[in-house]
Amino acid sequence: MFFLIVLPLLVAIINSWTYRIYQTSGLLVFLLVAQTVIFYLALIKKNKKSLVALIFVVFAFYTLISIKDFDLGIIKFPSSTPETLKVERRQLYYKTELNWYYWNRYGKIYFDKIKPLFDKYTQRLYSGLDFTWYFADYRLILFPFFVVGLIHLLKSANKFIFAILLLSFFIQGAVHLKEAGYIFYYPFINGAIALGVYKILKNDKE
Amino acid sequence: MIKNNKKTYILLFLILIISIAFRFYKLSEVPLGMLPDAFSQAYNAFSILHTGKDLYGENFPILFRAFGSYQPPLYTYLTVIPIMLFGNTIFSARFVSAFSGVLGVVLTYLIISNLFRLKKDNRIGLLASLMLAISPWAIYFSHRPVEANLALTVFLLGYFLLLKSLNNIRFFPFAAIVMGFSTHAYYSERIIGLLFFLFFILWYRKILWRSKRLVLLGIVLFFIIQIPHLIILFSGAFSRRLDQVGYIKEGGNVIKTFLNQFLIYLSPKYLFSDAGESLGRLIPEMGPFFSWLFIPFLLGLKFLSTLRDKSLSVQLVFLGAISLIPASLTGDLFYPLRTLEFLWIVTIVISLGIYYLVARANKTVLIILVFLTSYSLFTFFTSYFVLFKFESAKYYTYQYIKLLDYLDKYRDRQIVIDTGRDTAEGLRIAYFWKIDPAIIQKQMRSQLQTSYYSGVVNANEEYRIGNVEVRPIIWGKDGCSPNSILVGDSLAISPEQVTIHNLSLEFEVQDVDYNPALFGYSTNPPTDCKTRK
Repeated sequence: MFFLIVLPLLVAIINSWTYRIYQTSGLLVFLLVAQTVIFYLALIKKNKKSLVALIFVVFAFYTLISIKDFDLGIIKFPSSTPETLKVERRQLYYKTELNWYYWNRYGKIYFDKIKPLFDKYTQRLYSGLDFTWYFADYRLILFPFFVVGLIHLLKSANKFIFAILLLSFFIQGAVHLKEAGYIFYYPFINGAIALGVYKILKNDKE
Repeated sequence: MIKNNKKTYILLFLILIISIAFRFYKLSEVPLGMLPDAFSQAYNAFSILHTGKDLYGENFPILFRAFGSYQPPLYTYLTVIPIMLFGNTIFSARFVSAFSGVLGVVLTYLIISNLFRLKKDNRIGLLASLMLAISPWAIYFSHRPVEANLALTVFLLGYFLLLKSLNNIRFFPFAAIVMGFSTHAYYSERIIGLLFFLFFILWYRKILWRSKRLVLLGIVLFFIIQIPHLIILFSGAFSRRLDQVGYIKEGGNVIKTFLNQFLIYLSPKYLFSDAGESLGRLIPEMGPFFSWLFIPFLLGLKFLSTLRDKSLSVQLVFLGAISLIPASLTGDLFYPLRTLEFLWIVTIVISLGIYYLVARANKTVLIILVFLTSYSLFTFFTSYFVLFKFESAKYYTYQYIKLLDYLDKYRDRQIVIDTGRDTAEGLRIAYFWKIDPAIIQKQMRSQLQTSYYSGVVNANEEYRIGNVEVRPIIWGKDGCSPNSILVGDSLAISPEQVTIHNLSLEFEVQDVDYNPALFGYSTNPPTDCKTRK
């Protein structure tokens, strides 16, 4: 019972991030903690179908709750004066060096509109993958467990679990960051930590 | 080693062509300009070539003083060769780095083919070398005259020879010599080279210890090559670079800071996307790796974790971990130059992930991979050879190189170039004008306020090259000197000073955005200038 339910709950409770999310929404934190437990169990139970299906269901619920935080204006480009100035400055460079690659209708659309938007979204995608955000201060002690858990996750996760990880990654890129932080990574970070603790305590060499 | 067939050699040759193309294309033009320490390397190489002494007149230095950063020597000594062949150009200064980058691609194939020989699949080595050939970080550092890039190649050569010694122990002493020299190539290798060498001996002790004599010879040779480090260990010069960029002397929670810095380098945010406007930024809108390679990276970790031969993953993990130690001892937020071995490890893991995909993939996945790679190379080309070229020009002091074209027109006038924002113009002039090293050595030696190897270095050095003086402008003296030209930026020569000293604009040097960056003013002092001041 301890290793199945109590351990992932304990990991969630000792993480101060849980309380920051709680300030935003009690329902959200409940769903995310539940998702942590389900995700952790799915990996321990070797991708049991019912648990993997439940992951998708819970994921759908907290995605719907977070929909109000989806701000596509964030990935609109240009959305500020500095961004506009950047585009104008770079037009000069492209004109000088790229000649006909730039000086045609499709080239201009790509370099002035599509590429900057794509670059902005990419930067936002990865902005949440900074380990110092999750493991600063006392939480640094959890990092080795996270690494062990991540390795076991990579070894044992099936394509559906990978799919949900990727989906979370791409959706987080479009969600406006607030006090709660990168909530779509919450279940997987805490789940990996719990998995790492489990593997080490059980001395599971698999 | 896996037996290479004709197809493998053709593919490897193509990869080599790709790596040469990316590293040597516009080598002189991108970046536009060179940093001061690069000019220090270049002129020192020129000086060594002609006199055997550096610009301070020091005979074959163990470290090159270079504005007090005490550059490791190997890069400068090797730059003698391209300068001899191609003359005093930016191409010559960068050649060793670019060539090292190409050699690194070949060594990567050899190392990875050796490590994964049991898989009996040449694709692993080929993919690893291809990934290195096209990685943004590898191309970026091959285009700059950086000791770290040479150090990585020397380290990889040492690693390859160590692996060879497992089958033929006669390679071990040579491996030890090369590993020893890697510690003279860059600061980080003083830790990485030593720790990895010792780790390798320990890890493979059962195999190596069968030929104790050769192994002991190798160990002795390695430590003999460390003697120059020991000679200057307590001079202040050896640790000066760490003093400049480290945080240990500041006190505080050193362990916490170290671990925090360590985590930063492991974060995908900095590896797969643009770190933003910071010291460690590589290319605009791009990280050290293409962003989509995060997925192959995860697959590569999966592949490594499922390998039966744990020795392989232990080696790579150990190297990855120790290669972050030097960078984690410094306070800069994500400075990739100090972590090239780590970036190499990440490249290998990515290539393993791609191998994992290729081995299981159908035609659709392969087409997607080819499309993504092609698109990435196109965006890299525009980001690096266009955006980076222009947006970094000011940082690489392009305007000070352009200034040299104007100086040529005023050979009959006294010129004073202000050193407020740039201390290297004297070296630039000396390098491009091929000034006799004996002249520079005499000037620089006389200005040394401490011994050559010292933890204390005088900040401002002045040059006198023909009619050009490179030093801070002294208004009381230079403002009253008739028919002289004073050169500086708008901070060095403000509009108020132009009015007070009755200066006339002689020329403007524009930056890449066509904004005036440097100004040359003629002096028109009144006859009573000295008494009026």
